[in-house]
Amino acid sequence: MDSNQPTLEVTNLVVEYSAKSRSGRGVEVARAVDGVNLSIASGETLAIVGESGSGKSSIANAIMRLIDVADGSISLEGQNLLDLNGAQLRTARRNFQMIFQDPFESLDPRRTVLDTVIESIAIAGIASSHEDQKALALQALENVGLIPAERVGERYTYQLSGGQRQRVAIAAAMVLKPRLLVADEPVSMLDVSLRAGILRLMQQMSEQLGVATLFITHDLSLAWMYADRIAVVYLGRVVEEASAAELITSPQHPYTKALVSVIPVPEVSTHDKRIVLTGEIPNPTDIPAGCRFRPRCPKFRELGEPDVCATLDPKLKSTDNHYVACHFAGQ
Amino acid sequence: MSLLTVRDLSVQYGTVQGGVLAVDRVDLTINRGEFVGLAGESGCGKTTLAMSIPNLLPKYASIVSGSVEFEGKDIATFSESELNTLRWKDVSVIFQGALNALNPVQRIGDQIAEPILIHEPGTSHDEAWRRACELLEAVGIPSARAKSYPHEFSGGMRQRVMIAMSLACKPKLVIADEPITALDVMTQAQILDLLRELSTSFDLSLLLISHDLSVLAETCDRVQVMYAGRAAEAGTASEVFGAGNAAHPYTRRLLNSYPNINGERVFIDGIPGYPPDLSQPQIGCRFAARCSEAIDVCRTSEPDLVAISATHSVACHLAGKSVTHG
Amino acid sequence: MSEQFISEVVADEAPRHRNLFQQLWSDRMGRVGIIMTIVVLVAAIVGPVIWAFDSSAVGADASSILQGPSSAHWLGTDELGRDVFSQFLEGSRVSLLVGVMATLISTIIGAGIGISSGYFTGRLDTTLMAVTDFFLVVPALPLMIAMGAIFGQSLTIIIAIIGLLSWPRTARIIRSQTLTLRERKFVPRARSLGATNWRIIRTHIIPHVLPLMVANTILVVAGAILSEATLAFIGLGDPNRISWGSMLHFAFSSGAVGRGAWWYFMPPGIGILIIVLAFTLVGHAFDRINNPRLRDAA
Repeated sequence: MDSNQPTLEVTNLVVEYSAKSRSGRGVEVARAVDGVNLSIASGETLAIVGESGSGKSSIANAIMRLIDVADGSISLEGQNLLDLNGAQLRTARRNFQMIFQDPFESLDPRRTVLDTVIESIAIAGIASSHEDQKALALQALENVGLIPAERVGERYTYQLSGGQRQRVAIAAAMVLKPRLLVADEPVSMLDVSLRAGILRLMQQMSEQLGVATLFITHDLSLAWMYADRIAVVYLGRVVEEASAAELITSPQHPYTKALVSVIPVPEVSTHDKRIVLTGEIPNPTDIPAGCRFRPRCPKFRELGEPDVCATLDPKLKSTDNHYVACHFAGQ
Repeated sequence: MSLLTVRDLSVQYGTVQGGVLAVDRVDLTINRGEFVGLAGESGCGKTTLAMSIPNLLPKYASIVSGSVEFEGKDIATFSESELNTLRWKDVSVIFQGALNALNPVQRIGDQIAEPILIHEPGTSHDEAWRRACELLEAVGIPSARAKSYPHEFSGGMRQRVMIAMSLACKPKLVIADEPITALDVMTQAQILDLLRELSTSFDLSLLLISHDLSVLAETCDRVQVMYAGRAAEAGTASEVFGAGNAAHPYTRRLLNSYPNINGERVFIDGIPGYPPDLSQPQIGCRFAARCSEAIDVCRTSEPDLVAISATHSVACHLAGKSVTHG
Repeated sequence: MSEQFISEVVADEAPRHRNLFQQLWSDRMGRVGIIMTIVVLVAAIVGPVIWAFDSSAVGADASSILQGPSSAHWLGTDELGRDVFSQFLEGSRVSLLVGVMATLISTIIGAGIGISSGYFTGRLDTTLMAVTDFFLVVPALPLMIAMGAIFGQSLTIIIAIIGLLSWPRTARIIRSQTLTLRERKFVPRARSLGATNWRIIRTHIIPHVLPLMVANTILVVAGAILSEATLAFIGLGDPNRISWGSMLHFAFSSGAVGRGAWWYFMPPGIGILIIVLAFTLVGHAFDRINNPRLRDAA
């Protein structure tokens, strides 16, 4: 295998779904994801940051093959996940695992903690005898800090706190030694004081195993802290991608600039630099022509509404590994 | 005179032996025109404290000690009709999760007009509708949309409607319980800006409840941090959130639980452990078990909230001594 | 410093849940239902062993028919001079047998259709629900009568007819529960682990619909017993087996009712009432336990 090959390579990903048209009659096609390219190396973390309606969760679910993909390719260690048939896909799944947002919903409340981890082991078929499965599961619980594992294992998942449940989910995912971990807002449902523990755990386990991580979040400051690189998505497109530090210190796209300017910081701040955009992300059934951010773009108005923004869809262009999709980036 | 004074308030859930003191001897003051933030994690008693102001506690909760005074009058002495006037006309509440509390089959305008018609008898329907339209304009929604139904609005727009509704009877104090929690960052910024504007144009005081310290830091004049039913720290925003100012270890640890893009790119800290189980008797400082600075006295005696400056008070045995290594 | 975030000692003992029987027992209606059910079951199982019914033991002369209760015949005799008490015990067996077996058929069909329909959705759902709706609106009793008349009057056929006509409600209830369940995130999570549909249904859907299914089943038993009694009463029962329905049928057709032979027609009537009430009480109590909203309303 080519050693330079990224663990995950997504090219031109398109996700569509049909939505009832607003008049209530007929069906419209919404492009939730509209031509997204991503690549994550082993051991690397890429954060996808966007508001609700940006398509970030669709990207995660498409990569996890939980929703249909209209176009593009998703290649995990060189294998296109879209080429696999049902049985092949199920076998391949152990290589890409997901941590879901809501630990109160993603674990079956009628199963015990041990059963939950064993299920993951049994489906993947990494241990055949029940004794081996149980030993592996107990070890996995210990690895995520749930001790004493024997006793925790007997509990039903609904008897645990949110942070503890998320640890169970991490144990069940990481015990499979996946190559890719997709974490969809893994701490947004947890109390602030518990977030660090979960994130640190995810980070340490990913580092140990050299996992590529796709970190989905609405929280730009969390992405900045946790990820190596950040991709900002708007209406199904990546509009800017750069290393986490650079994206925050020198954002190029007007949307990123605005997002960075409104990040709440835990200190008294002055409000002079804030760029508060008006309006909201438009409906993906109705993507504006030209640059899709144009209707809300402060730069567009500042520059006297140049024609190019209204007619030409800006491509993601790179300077020194900093990608921006704006006709006037850097100006 | 302050608009609202809560003194030594304790609120108990449940009765007899199984009772839980969700709020335990807490003070809170809100002055006219002030933005006060109430911070803390889930279960710290911040919502219970706020809901006891307009006496909107659930049936199984009761105020067991202390007083709530609004404009100098103790609400415990209020009759049911006086309480009804207090709610909406003096104090209105934007409930947590209210985003989904709009009636799906009633026009937005009618829903805003409803409290006006109820609380100001004699108002004609046209007059109430006209005021509803004005309120919509005030929260940044074209009045033409008064005829819309809630499902035609996004989350941010519905929160604007809820704000318009809370202003319907021109209250003096608005209590907003996690008003922006379910919203996107940009929408949060829009709503916070809107609340700031409205406070001037409507001459409002605001009690903003949030688990998110960074939101309160940007918005409020004064902040009170709650932990396990007690006030841990109270002060002006800069006293509590200003760099290195926080006097309670809990506040400091909580502030360090947020990434700060103005600072160094370091991994956030958390706080080990969980808040205490309030159904058990509490001995010593409630935060002691999770506090890395705790000394023996913290485990045996409960610290009082003491003033360390004219406006800044803290409930910590180490206050004043520990600030240096914070 | 980081070590303390990595470990999380989980405190001991969450409150253990009381088992189902204890929960049913603590519900007053459930307790009455359980006691009644046990009495009926014991009567049906043990009764006929002790007081065996002999259908050939007809009375010798006119003085022995339709006699009132006596020490020889605790519940008197029927129009042929046979003992009503032992007949009554024998009849409970058929009622229960038909009730349970028909319900079994109904539940298997109903749960199968409900789960497939709710889990797979799409075209399969549309088709299955069209079939369900058809059976739901078809007037069941006339259809049962017609089918009983066409296919004959054996117990097996009666069980089959009742079973085949009483599943649509079950299917509807199970489907809506399944639809809610498949939206719960633990279903996509199981899929992301590589679980097959069958595995997901087996481990994450069925355990959740089971309580609802059981509650519904108990209620269906009551309905099935009533259906059997109805069919037998109008003369479409198995002529070779005595059930409470057929006892009522013969009581009416022989003119026992007109002659005021209450000992003949009252016991099967009361028997049906008790058995249906027993199952209904247990079923509703079960429903309350499973459905917190009902519990709070009560």
